[in-house]
Amino acid sequence: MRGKGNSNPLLMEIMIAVLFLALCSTAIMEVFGFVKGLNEKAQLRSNAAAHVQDIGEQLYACDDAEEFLASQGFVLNGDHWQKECDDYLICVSVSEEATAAGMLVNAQIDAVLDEEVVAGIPCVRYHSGKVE
Amino acid sequence: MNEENRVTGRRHSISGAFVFALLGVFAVFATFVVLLGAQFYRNVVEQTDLNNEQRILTNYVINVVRGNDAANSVEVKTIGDTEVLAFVWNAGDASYETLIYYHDGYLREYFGIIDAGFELSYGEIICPAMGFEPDLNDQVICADITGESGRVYTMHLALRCEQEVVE
Repeated sequence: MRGKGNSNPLLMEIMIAVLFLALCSTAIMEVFGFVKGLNEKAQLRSNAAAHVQDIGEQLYACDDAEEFLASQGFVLNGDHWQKECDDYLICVSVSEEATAAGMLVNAQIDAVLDEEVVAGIPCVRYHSGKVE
Repeated sequence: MNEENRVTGRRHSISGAFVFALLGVFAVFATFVVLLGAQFYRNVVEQTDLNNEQRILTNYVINVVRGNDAANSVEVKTIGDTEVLAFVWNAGDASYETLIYYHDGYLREYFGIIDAGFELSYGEIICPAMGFEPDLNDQVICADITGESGRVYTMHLALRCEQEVVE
């Protein structure tokens, strides 16, 4: 009787400890998983922002935006150009406004992930022309 | 009596084995959690390092170019075997240059008077890197920056000021 009385509390204590460890481990794993997800998303956003910025710079320097976008693999879809990248979609909408002394080219470059814009920049350039 | 003792003894040994088995499960489980947590933590830190590396290297070059972008001031030249992105500007009688280049495991910046006896090791260390290859084409600086991790970051920068075309 005495032996049974001694082993039961010890057994119970260990079982409670194992159960508590299991619960804590689950919580910790969930937190780590969440953090890993956040970090991957941050990496993705960072890549998307760098990519968008890179396209913006090249777009600023080129004389013909549509020719440049076509050469970079962008496809015209309705009123905007788009290109599928590994994890996100790059959308570029270009508008041109003729003025008396030149052409104002306005482009909006967005990186879209799951229908959410994760990075976007405007790119505006004025191409001066001849005043007639 | 002997039979009863034998049965009780076997119960004790089974109970003891069960306790040890539980302790073993506890130990294995705890070790597993610690190892998995450490692995997660290492991955997270590595990924954060990559993010930081990309941001620091590219944004540093962007900031230098934006800060020094002036008419006819930007050029890419070769010193020894090293490709150097150079920004030249005049102040009074003297001409100064800011040089961005890779040397000996680091991205470096040098600022000084032109032809004042420059050596690649003179540059200030900016951050660890494994390569920097700038190119200037038609108002656009294209640079391949290799980070410490071995990743190559290709960036384009359109110059806002007109540059003299050197044939």
